[in-house]
Amino acid sequence: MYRLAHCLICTYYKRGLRAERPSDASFKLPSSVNCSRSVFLKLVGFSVYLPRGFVRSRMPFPLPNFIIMFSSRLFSSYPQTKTYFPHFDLSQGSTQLRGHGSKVMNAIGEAVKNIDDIRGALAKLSELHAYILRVDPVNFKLLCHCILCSVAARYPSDFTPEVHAAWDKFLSSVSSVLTEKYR
Amino acid sequence: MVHWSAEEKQLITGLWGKVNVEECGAEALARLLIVYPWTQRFFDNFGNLSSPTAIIGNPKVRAHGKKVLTSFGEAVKNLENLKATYSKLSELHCEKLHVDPENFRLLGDILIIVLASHFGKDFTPACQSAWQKLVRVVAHALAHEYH
Repeated sequence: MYRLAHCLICTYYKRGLRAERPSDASFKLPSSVNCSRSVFLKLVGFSVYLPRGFVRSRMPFPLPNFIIMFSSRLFSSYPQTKTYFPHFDLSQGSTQLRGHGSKVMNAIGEAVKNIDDIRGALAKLSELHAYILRVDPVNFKLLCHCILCSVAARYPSDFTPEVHAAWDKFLSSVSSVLTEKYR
Repeated sequence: MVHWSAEEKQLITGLWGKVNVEECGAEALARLLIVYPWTQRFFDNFGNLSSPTAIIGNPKVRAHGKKVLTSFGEAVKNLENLKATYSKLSELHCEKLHVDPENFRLLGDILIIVLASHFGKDFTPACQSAWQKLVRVVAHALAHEYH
């Protein structure tokens, strides 16, 4: 099942998305970028790139578990981050938490898909964070760190130092875009 | 003085007992130098750091990584008295090595990621929380004698 799913992801990826490495544009990833994408696709490829029906019937990857994992890590290690969710049920696995986690992962997916123009891809989200949500910028680092921990725990053999470097840089770029309109 | 609950102490000492200090130390330092290449500025005499492969295979990186994590073991043994434990090391990092304390925080977070990759689901959110507190307090202790 895993192999079938992985092949389908790779086929869909090559057909529909950026198949070649990023050009020399504003964002440069080291040569491990394609490996990084495969790690990411293992996590969220279904929710971003495949039809919903397929996702519901065939999803072998525990994306909801991943969302639960990084949310739990964030709220346990950095309880101050809970202050942004006073209206949420923050118990592990809550529907609200899963819903919000999915939004976060989909936004990251959009950034991966548009890696040469993250600013353009996340423009609306950037405005939302600047003018409505106003999450203190320090929290983006905390969230990114917890996402990296969750990836490392879930895919230790894929999460090589090169992939780690690429993802740290990428998530840092995403965070910069989301906070660049703050002032 | 930092207060540690019984559960936090158990999560820290319990995991520490399973850590391969040489391997984790080497990997943590290598990842620091790869993910945050500006940290290489402190290791001019380490030889070839020109690529991730070179860094991972560099014997000086491995040896120093082991030394750093061995020292971390002192923190695990002296949770109630970290400032005193690291007082001399703090002076050394300030006066001789001139290391920006931000680097202690970077290395602490890298160590957490290495532990996550080695222990997988056993590195639970509660475990991470206890270890985040430990690396934060160690970083603070190492910066305490700076002037």
